Amino acid sequence: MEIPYIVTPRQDTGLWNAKIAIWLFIASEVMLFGGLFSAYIFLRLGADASHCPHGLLNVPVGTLNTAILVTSSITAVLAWGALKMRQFSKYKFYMGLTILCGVTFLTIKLAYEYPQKFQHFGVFIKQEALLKYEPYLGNAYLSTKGLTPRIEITGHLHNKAALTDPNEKEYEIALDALNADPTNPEFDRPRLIQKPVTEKVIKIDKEDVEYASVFAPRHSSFFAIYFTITGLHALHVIGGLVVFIYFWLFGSILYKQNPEHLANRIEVSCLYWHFVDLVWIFVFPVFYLL
Amino acid sequence: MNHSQPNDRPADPCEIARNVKTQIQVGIALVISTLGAVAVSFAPFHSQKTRIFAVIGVALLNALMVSAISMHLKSEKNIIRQFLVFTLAFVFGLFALTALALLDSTGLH
Repeated sequence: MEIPYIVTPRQDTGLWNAKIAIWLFIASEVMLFGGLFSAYIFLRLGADASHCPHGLLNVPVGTLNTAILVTSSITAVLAWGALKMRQFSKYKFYMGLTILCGVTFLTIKLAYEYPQKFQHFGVFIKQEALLKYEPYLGNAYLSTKGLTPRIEITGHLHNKAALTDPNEKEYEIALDALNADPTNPEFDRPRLIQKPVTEKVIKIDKEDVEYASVFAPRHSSFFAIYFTITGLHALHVIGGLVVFIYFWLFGSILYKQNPEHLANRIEVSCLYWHFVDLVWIFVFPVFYLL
Repeated sequence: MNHSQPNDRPADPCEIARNVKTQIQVGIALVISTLGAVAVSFAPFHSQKTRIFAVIGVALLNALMVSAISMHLKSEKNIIRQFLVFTLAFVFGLFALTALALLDSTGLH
């Protein structure tokens, strides 16, 4: 049986099947991500000022990823344009570039940014022990400047056994530059370029610790929702890439039968890809810049 | 009438070239405005509110560019715009619930 309106639009709606289907799908996605962003705003507004996440994420890498995703949107449109002009080899070239950009985005996100976070360790100090760790927190200095006090010491955990072994009474941490030199005015505000972890190692008694964790979802509400939304976004990128790779490898079959049908399919794929881009346009400023 | 008939005619090259050129311009504008947002977020503002409004403002502008131009919403059929309006009403309803819950918990009403 022939499926109607896969190339020509219906007279009543003026739309062909896939066009209306992709827009309905995008509408459902808007509700999904809208709910998650709403949850993030709720959590952020309710959070204490000392838990401000600005500066926790790698902004230059996030900016690079934004540029890569935007570039992939452009190359996807170029691929669609080439198909409309019936230039199949150009289509293959631009679609290949789109796939390369998408894979690069994912590699940076999943193989660089996420592992970097999982290597990082944070220790929230109990209120009664804050004075003991004042050399690494610098709260007296911060109060003279009217800045929010710090309650967390961060860096790289040396004795990883301390996470599971109750006989290990201390955490040995190679300090972040901020905690190694907390009264340095350059750390009064979040930095665009993060400094590497220092060689200064300190020991923190477990008894003085309210809570300790690597920068994983369990670390804080911020990281929980950051990994949820960016992970979901990454899944959407993977979904888009699967579709693009399919049409890149097997598009010639449909192209020989009906080139306009393939062009329409690429057009709706591009719409989806633009939506993935749109979500990132909100993810980047909300999580990385505020 | 055959609704899935093969169509071998290439599109109007001028129209496609114009479309692609617009998309490239949008892409360049997106990258530039993103860099602007990064600069604003690390600028020495005294007020956090100013920073939030500036950064979210840039994000909304970027989103508007992508949806209106890249996704062709400005020239799309009315039926699509209509159900997107309902979708946005639902999303803003969610945000309103968040705001109401916040007001409730802080007693700011």
